[in-house]
Amino acid sequence: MAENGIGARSLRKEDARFLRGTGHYVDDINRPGQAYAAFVRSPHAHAKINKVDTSKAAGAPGVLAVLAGDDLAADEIGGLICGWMVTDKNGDPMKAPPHPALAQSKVN
Amino acid sequence: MPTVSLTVNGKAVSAEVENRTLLVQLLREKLGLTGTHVGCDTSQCGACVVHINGDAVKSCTTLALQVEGADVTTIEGLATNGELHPMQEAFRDNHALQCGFCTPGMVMSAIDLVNKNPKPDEQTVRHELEGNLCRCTGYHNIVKAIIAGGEAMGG
Ligand code: FES
Ligand code: FES
Repeated sequence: MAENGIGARSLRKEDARFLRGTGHYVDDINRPGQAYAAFVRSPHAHAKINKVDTSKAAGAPGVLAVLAGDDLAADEIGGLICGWMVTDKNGDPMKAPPHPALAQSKVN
Repeated sequence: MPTVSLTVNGKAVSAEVENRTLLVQLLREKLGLTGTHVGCDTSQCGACVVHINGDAVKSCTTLALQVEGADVTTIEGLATNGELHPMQEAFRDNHALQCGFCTPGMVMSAIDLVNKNPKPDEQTVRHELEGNLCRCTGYHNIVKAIIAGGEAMGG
């Protein structure tokens, strides 16, 4: 193997901190007053949402906000976007169904 | 709240914990030692492995109160005077990490493995590693690193 140039071995700069446990991952961030999010998932794989009752959760001590799909819609927070839209053979844009970040009216 | 007192990386520490506080929470949240990672919190991934009195243990599955009086070593406690432990060195030399998330647990498990099985062969290393998951490397270089690290540790 070449000693330098193309094909040479090179050690990665980031490994030293990863190996010492001093990397900085998202879960390692701890700022004063930091808030935390918890996600509640549907117990059903595919179902219609009749209603989401958040009153008890919202009343729990220390809770800053409880958000459901309709709240995101009301705040005009859009869904997940497709990063790479392709066209059909005949030039039609691909069909991209909505992907709301939190389920609205239906869990799929 | 009860207090737990133990030695972490050679230093005596005490902290108030709840009965349900996990060792990994004590380390990460109370002691600020975020090198120990939580990949699953259900005993599957091994990102949280630390040594308790020299044995590799999943700290997500250990209550803080269970380690009263124990000697705990985390990834942060391996290097001496800034020098990497031979196993850390072997991981670096063999490119045994990419994102590094599994690495602290891998290294802690690897050291215990070599302490208990000096000069492990590839099959033993692969078998012993069943409690540590890596989503990046495909394990090949981790296995190589552990064999090399074991040799460097004089095993
Ligand atoms: S966090 Fe402990 S095994 Fe995954
Ligand atoms: S290096 Fe990324 S998970 Fe192992």
